[in-house]
Amino acid sequence: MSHSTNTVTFLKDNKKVDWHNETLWWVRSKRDVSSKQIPEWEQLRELASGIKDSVLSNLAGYLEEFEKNAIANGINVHWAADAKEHNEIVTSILQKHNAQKLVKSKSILTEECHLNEHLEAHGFEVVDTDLGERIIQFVRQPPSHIVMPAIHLKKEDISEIFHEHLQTEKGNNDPQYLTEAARQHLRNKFIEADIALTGVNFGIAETGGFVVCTNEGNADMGVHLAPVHIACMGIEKLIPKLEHLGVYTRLLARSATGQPITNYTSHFHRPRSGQEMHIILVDNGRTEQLSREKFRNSLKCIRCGACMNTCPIYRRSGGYSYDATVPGPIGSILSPGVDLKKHQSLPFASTLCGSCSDVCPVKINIHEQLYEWRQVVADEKLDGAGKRISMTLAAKVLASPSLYNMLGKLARKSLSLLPKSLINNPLNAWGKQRDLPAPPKASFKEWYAKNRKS
Amino acid sequence: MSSREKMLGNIRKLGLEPKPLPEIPAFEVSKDLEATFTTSLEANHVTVISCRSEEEVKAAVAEQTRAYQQVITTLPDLYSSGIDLATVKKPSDLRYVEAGIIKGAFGTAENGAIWVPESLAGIRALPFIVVHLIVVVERKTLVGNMHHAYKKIEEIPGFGVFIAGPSKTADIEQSLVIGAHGPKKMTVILC
Amino acid sequence: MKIALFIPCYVDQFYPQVGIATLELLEKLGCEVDYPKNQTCCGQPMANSGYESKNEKIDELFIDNFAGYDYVVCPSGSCTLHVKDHLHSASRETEAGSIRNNVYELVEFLHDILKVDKIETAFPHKVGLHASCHGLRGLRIAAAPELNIPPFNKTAALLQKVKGLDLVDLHMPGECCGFGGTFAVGEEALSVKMGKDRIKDHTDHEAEFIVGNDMSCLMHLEGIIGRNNMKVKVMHVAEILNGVSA
Repeated sequence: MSHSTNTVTFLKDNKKVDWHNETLWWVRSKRDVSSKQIPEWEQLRELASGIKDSVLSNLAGYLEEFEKNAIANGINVHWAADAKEHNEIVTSILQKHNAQKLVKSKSILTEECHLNEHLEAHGFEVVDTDLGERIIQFVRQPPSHIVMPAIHLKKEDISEIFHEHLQTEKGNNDPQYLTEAARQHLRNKFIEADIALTGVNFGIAETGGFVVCTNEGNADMGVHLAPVHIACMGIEKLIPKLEHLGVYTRLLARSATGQPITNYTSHFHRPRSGQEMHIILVDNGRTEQLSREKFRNSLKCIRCGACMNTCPIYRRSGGYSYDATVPGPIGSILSPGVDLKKHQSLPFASTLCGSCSDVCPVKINIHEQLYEWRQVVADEKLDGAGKRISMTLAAKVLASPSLYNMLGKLARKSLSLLPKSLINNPLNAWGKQRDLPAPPKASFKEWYAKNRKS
Repeated sequence: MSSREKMLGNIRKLGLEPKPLPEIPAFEVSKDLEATFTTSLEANHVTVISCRSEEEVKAAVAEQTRAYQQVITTLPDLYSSGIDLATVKKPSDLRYVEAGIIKGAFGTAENGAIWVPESLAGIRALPFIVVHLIVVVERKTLVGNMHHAYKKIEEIPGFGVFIAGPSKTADIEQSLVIGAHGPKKMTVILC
Repeated sequence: MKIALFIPCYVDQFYPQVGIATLELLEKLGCEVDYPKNQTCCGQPMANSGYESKNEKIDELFIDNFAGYDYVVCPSGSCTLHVKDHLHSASRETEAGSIRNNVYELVEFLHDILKVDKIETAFPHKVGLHASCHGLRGLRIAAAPELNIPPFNKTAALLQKVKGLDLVDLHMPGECCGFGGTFAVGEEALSVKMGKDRIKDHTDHEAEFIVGNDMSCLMHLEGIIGRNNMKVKVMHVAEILNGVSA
């Protein structure tokens, strides 16, 4: 289904749309305040972008450097060309340890690979431990935002879900109470877990270690209790040196939520004594995106979600309207690279307002890439014959001054003759909820010819 | 061909021109590191106790832990009746511990982040599993920003964490709740 | 100084008064202005829909009309940005390049090139300034609120010189109105919702007029205002600067 169709459904509940819009705008406002506390903010964005430029230009070299150092640290390094291989590697590690129970902290990569479904089909218990992710896991929904996975749900909904799954009091909507219930429930899960799985925010080539950022501490609760730690990392998450974390840790949380840093920024380099540590380096379409020059730097993304919070479309259409693992502006330039046909409406789910590019901490030119994907969609003839014909015709008319003048006059004349009810009817998408401008008698060109004779 | 070779090969065949890494310049930092550090922590729901002597630190620790039965520490000089670290067989043994007292290697003024390498945590899980985390930070260790912070990490530990506040979440309607999985309370004793 | 006036197609057809105000204003400021009469459109509707490839002849026509001038001035940020970013020619790339460099949105031109320091008109009304996105973040006519840079706003700087004009503060001054060209019909429901929200920000702050640099955004807002019988009016910045009685 197209983004516009999904959006019409979301827009039906106007009160909820306003709440969603205002809540995310509030997060964006916190980001504005926080970023403006750093005088060198724009310089940091430039640096963050430049460092990633270097990474992407020499990705193979950095991957090998990372692998070598990680192995020397005692980490098992795996390579997965696609989602299937990634899921199989995870399964094989679980099987090797006769593991049954897995706790997971937030990883958009595993959403992308549909790891949970895969593991559940193989009979494993998978528990998402980020509060937002646990909420939506109970009702088997995907995240609607990469940083705030349950932002589409109201506390009344969550109270209902917890009442059913955690036996909390019916009708108790207090976030404090509900969070405490989740804490008790998940503590047990952490303690029982055979294996803990995390995503990776940054992999450091120079040191062969990686960094995981959370506020809840759920990643750490998982990995420091479980005998095995599996970290899943998209190959674009690499940075060259430890010192580069200085740049990214200053940008990430300020961009995401406005806080100066996540409460826990955890650096993993060696397993604890008796523990086993694995890292899976995942491609799944990333080298293909790397090969597309115009879209290459979409791989700089550090998954802060700022482009979602600022996007006037996302705020009013909700994450599900995108029908993609990563919603919002960044998702709309990543998803077409994965499945152009399925996601062909996403590049058009934008007014090209450019706010996404201006909040992006790694300066991805998101709105320009949306424009470029539109060209690809049209070139591949995925947008329907009707549009193609009308665009071809329009281009012909606008390339001919005489045709343009004549048809313009005709249009103004008919608009002034036709009854308003006929113009502003529901079949005309413009006129459904908007009036057309009253047509003037003369165009500017006609006025000019009369008033400025040379 | 292995996936490793395939992935590396796919990247190499693009023949991208390597781009140089940008230099990170020195940025100005707060002139009053202690004040900025304190403000950052307090804004993140951390109680900061400023002490001027070892006696004051001990008194602060005693005051903070008075109500608890189960306390663990890597600093026996400051708290002598804690659970003996050596008796902890597995990290989950710490699940009912009320307070943990550890030392931070250094603090970062701009965001309150305190570097805790595993040697100072004692047990990796400790700073996360206790209900009340008490961290002792020496004011002479404070640095201005994260660039200075990373320069200060000379030896990379097997595990190390920047802790900036108690465990928190806002996943229910963006309402802030302190104490999601880890500590519900955090105190920094600055000495 | 040879100046060509570029009047976007929808302004030509639906809002000739904006073209007239632009021309009169430039003339009052002592500019000699040509209006190449074979002009049509910059090609943005096709390009933003994915059909940049169909624009070859439109681009050639644009170059026929506008090559050789010192400046091309246009009362639309969006059309100006399109020319700046996308005007190309296989056979006349030098000309295309110099047009890309010399094309200015009206306010930019008044502010940066003419350095206008006095506006002799009056407009004793409360005005909300709608910063159209392409002008704001594409041409950088004002400091985008997302960036950590010193604040500036060239449109506001000019409007503040108009006697009696009272610029109101807005809650979300950089927010898109939801026009977005074909977005307005392709995502009709969302476009209208965005427009309504934008108008509300202005009316909440008691603006009598929503004023902007792009008539396209204002046409969308005006359409919603008209359908809902609201009192607030829209007006192009050129009309106010040139002097108009409300």
